[in-house]
Amino acid sequence: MQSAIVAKRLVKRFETREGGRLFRGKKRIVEALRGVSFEVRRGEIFGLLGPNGAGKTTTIKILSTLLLPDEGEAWVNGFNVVEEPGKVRESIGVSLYSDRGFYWKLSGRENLMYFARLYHLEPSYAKERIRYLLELLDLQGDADRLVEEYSTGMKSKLNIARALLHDPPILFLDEPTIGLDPYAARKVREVVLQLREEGKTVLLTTHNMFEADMLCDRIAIINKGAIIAVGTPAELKARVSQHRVLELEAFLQDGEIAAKLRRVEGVVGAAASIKDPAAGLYEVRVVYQGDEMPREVLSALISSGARLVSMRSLEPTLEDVFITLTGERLEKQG
Amino acid sequence: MKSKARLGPFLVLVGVMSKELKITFRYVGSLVLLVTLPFMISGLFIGIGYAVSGPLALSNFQANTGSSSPLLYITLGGVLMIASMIVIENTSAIIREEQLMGTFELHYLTPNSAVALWLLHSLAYSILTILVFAVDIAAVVAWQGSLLSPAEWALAAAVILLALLPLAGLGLVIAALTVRFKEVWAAASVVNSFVAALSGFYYPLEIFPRIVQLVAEALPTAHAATILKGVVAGVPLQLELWQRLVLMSALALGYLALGRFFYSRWEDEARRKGELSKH
Repeated sequence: MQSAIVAKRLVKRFETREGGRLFRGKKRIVEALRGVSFEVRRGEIFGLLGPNGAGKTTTIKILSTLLLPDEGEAWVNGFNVVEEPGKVRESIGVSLYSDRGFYWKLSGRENLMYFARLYHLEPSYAKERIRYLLELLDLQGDADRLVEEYSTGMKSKLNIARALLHDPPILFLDEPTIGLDPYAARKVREVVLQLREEGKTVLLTTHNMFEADMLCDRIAIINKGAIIAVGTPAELKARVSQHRVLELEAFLQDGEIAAKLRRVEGVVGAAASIKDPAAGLYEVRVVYQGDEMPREVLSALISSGARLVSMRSLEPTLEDVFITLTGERLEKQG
Repeated sequence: MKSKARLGPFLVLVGVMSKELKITFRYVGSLVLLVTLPFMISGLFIGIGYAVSGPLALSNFQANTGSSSPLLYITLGGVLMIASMIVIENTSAIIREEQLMGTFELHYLTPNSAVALWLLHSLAYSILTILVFAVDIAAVVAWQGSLLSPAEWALAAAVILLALLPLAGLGLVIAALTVRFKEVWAAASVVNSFVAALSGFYYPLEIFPRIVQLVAEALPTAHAATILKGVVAGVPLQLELWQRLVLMSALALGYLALGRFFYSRWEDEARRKGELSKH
């Protein structure tokens, strides 16, 4: 069966300017995507998991025809994203922002009706479809309030409703739960799972490993514009199943401890993220082989002047796959 | 149930019109300002006229403009000037404002030409300003104890539409040229000043040297101001009405083609450089 989405060696470079004092600064080329390739099967939820700035949104924008790749090719629903953008757009629903993308002086229902008209939906069908989507996303009670009164969670759900208006077979959801409270995030995840049951293909981006683990049939881990691993959550976690994880909180001089820890024999990955910048409190995650933590880990911590606050041993998660592959933490970046 | 309508473009027109009208009527303060501003400017200019010319103000005005009613003449010019400013500024700022709201890219995901969508937005502003024109001018005409015939109203509306739509082309040129520098409001204000000065909204263009008059001929608003003063305020027309309408139509096509050309070039570049969503 033909794949729903195919990306082959996608490359995208952006020109930025930096260091300008009075006028615009110097040009700098940033490589946002460095040969990204993956395939998404029909009917699956596929996650692009990576930190901020990894290239997730750039990939979605190329696949949704909003951005042209510098190199490489991509097909969505069998249509080439550069040569057949119209056919690609008919096949996709896109939710790009969690809390933007609306006219604030219109109600939720009016916003949806506006976009339904832009999609040329027959009026009575559009009304019925909007009613169904508002109910699906638990927004029926707030449908006639102005969007300016909506919470972030309500806007995020309205964004998904907008993406589903024309009932597309493929959905792109860019960080659909970012900034949402747990209840709203859970509702969004339930809807994503329901969409898979309806046979839709979902490509979602996230930097939340629990979300990726819970929702996705397969995951591509992306970092600094490159895919570094693809597989089911179980396959990815199997890469570190022989490992254990030590998570500790400590007062440190700086985050350089992670580099020191990575040099310890038996340590396969280590990353530090700052928890309280004023106090110099860090959270450090160390992935090591076998059941016993190498003694040198503690020695390295003590010799670097760390004052330990807490320490616990954990089962590895997707985040530890990421740490092992990149030496960086997933959720605390950006 | 059938999901796709046969008259898709008509639905898009309805969608844009209804959205713009709802947003405008929900910012009622702006609407009140739009309706009352021409009267405020008229009062100001008439006051200045009397201050400068004293009792001779009215006869001087009639001798110089061909109109016996300064209030009608200046209100007409004011409505048209404000309408032209709204169309130029709103169309110029459409990329930036929609980008800031996060709605800009979403239009590109729908099966419509973006240029056509933005022109429909301009059509919505134009129709709105025609309504403002009707309210303001009806008030002045009624106050003076006369009426315009339905044919005169229809001609006035058509002339305003023919003057304003081409300005959307000009707005798209400004939008395309300025979006990268995020200075659209400054550029739109400069263009608006030129259009306001050269369209003869408040004075006859004959006061200018010939070269300036020739430049003004390239502005659809200059022709519209002349025609409206002829139809509504009885100022004699130098060119036949049909000649002016032909000229305006040609200018409309030219301006819109120019707008489409610049905007399409920017659009191609923006899809390459990722500027569709920059804010």
